[in-house]
Amino acid sequence: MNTREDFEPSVSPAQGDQVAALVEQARAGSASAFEKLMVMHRDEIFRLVFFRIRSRMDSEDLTQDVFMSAFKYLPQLKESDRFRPWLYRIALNRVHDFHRKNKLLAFFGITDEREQADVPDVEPHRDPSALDGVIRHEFWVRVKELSKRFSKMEREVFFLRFVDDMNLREIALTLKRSESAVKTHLYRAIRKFKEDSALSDFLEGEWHGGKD
Amino acid sequence: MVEKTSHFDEQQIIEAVIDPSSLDVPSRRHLWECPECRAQKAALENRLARFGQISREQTTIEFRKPEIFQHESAGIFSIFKLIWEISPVFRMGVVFASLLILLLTPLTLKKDMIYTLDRVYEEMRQDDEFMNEVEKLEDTPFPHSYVEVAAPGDDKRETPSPGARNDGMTEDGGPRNA
Repeated sequence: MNTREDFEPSVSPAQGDQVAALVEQARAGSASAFEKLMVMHRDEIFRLVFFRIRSRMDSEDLTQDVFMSAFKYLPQLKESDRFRPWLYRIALNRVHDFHRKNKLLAFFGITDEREQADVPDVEPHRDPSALDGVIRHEFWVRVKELSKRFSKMEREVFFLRFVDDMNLREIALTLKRSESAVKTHLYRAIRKFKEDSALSDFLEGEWHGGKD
Repeated sequence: MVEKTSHFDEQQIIEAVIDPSSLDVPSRRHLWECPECRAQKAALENRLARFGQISREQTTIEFRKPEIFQHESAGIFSIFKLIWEISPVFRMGVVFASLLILLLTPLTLKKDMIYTLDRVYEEMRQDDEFMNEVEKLEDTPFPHSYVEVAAPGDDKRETPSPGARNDGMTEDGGPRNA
């Protein structure tokens, strides 16, 4: 059974201090410090991008782009302890730019009108808890349906909270909103999540299937 | 107060999931004491956690790791590219230098053209001098010193053309009959 600890931020205070120290060193010009920061955060940044784009190659390019931007603008980051939300904001901006560019290209007929793929173009790592193809496809269709029910801000807040494992403060910093605004959007999003009976059935079925 | 001691409604359950510390004291006490409300809260938390867990599993794949400092083992082009990407000042400098080269190139070409014309004029002048010398030589085929040492009446005689045969003289200049 999950406890409240499941919803605590993935970065512990000790890790937070370590990150802040590395950020200070990187700002002072240490390439190895920035390299360490990149290694610490690259998986979660890639996951954030890939969850929203669902194309591995594009996600790889955007992840590279995110860290290039972070390297470039790191001297402008005033508070070292806000590195993670700052990095996530860069990543979200890149994702938005990507979608905007695709829409623009489609509008001018330069590329085909391409709906976002329902299912990612690659399979995840195989492990005992990984879903097989059919269930996997069903999951991503449900995610897409859920996303359509959300407003833009509800979607961002909900996914940052439960997929990217950020706490309320980090989400507020990432989206440049107050914590109370984040709570309001999260409240609405969870209501819609609860009302999505198909997704609930899927999670319940899969949950019990996983337990069995 | 009655409401606080009754079971949580949907809104309170969601609020408790989002931020338990935002609940007032009676609500927190009720949540602590009421297994039914705790179960509802835990059920919602489980579903959300399950959603997050599956999402993370589905997005955990092999991917090309980002690299910033690969230029350390690469050539100068990579260093140039890196600086180009991260430094707007460098970009502006390169653009400015390119514009400068474009603007100055015609001037350089024009200078080359002037230099070339000067050379042509110089060659023409040298040609003229050469032709003048040729014309002078045609007028006086013998060297000037030879003309001066010749006999005064010699200039009245017909100047033998080179190769013309003189029957009155031998080949060494003596009289043929001697």
